[in-house]
Amino acid sequence: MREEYFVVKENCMVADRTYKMDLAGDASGFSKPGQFVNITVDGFFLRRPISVARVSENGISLYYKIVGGGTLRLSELQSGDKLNVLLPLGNGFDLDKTGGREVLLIGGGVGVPPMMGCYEEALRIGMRPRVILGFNKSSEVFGVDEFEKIASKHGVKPTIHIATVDGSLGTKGTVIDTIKEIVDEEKFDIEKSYIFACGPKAMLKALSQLPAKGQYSLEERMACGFGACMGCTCSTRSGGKRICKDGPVFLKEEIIW
Amino acid sequence: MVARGIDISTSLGNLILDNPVIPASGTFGFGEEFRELYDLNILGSISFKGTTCEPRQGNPLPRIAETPMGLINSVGLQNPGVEHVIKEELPRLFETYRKPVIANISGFSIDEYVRLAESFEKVDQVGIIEVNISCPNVHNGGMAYGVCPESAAEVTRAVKSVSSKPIYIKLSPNVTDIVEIAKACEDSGADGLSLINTIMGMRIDINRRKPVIANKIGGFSGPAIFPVALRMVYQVYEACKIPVIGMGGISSARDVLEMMMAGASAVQVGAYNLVNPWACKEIIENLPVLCDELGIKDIKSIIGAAH
Repeated sequence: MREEYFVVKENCMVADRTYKMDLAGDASGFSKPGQFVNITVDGFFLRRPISVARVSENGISLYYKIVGGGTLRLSELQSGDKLNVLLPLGNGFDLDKTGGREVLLIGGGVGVPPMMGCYEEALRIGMRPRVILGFNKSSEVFGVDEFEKIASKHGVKPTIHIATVDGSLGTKGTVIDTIKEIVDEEKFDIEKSYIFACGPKAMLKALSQLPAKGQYSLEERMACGFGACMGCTCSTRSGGKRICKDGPVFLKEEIIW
Repeated sequence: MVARGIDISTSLGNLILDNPVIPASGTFGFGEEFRELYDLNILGSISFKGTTCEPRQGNPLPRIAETPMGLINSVGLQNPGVEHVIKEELPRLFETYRKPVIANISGFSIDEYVRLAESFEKVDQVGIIEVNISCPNVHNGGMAYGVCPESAAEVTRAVKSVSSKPIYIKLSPNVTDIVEIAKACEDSGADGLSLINTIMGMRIDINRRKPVIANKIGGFSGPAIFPVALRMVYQVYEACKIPVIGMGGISSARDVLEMMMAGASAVQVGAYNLVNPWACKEIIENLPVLCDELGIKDIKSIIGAAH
């Protein structure tokens, strides 16, 4: 772990209360998609942990939703502003564990961004995953263009499914309804698939009931983000685990819902 | 800039510290997360994670809420239990850290405090036993002993009777008169006092209309509580003769000097480690520079200077 100063390159709204922020700086050291950074926000004591969407040679892209004062302050940053960032944090998704199964990348709301990094890594190592994104309504949908960009970079035709709870875009319902559709219409064999997922706990819990193996990224209020304070320890089948340091990604079979 | 000829060493009774900066229990684990960031041996000492007789999973999540210039935690003394701490955690810490450490202990009965003190008696590198009678996050124990002079005295006597190591009692600010408790500990044989533990506080999530923290109430720490801690150290120093370790919201070398002028012989840095993992290192590096600026040649000379 180290501390770096990053410069805001772009900070723009991409959906309802949802922003994309591109930061320039030394982004070396990330080893897996699904890792996160912890950002100092002026005027707030605790840092803001935010998952990394994509890592490039010269920086990182993040997405965040305004949920309180800290993220509101982040949304006011202008290009050229500097941010103190702790990185790289957390374990990330392990794409080597799929055992050749068909891969589903599933993101819900602000759980979508780490799936972008997963998608990029998956394509890089020759996987052709399906992407399933869930939102409450069409005005909250973001990231589709980013997945398309990643696909075209690798010369791949992307398969992206969208679900919205109010039915204003894509499948009406949740990502679970989308999966049901794929299973019914395309005879998709869920038992032979492998899920990488990040999103609200209710979504993850519902996914965990499907007969597919997988890795889930959990979220929790944390203080330090690097394993010191025990503020985010959850019970797992292999004992208490710090979501920030031992996670945020856990094997499905480890998680106690 | 290097300030030469400035003595920032201090002492807690017979224990000499290279400098007054000690990471506070519960914000530094057993040093594991910090030893890759800087050489732990620069620290005055380390007060390691509060240890109980049995392993504890801690409280339900969420355990953390933010406040202006601080945070509230309700970790609930999550730790692997004294046996594991002595067998696994401390040997690993001692691979890196060569100086005496502070063993922070929490019991749920007088017997448990005694057992814990007995266990750490056998660990040579434990220089001080810090008896936590002030954890706000566990029921039927912890703070229950710290809120009245009689029970604080009882714990002090019990631990003193089985330990040859210096006994520091960690006091709760959640009392009507901290001086009364401090004196009761001193009169019962305490070798020193650590103050303050966290202040009880809470936040409510206005969307859910429920407390943010699962346990509803937690311990408030961070720079926001510094003036409260400073005031209490000042008052206790005036009433007691035994050394005081001052803590509560310290985040800079200036805060260290302020706390020492109030009467602290050494200080602990807690919450600030969590947002700046290099906090203790930076404070230790800044101390001689600041002392030089202020014409302080020997940091010990300012202990209690504000009285």
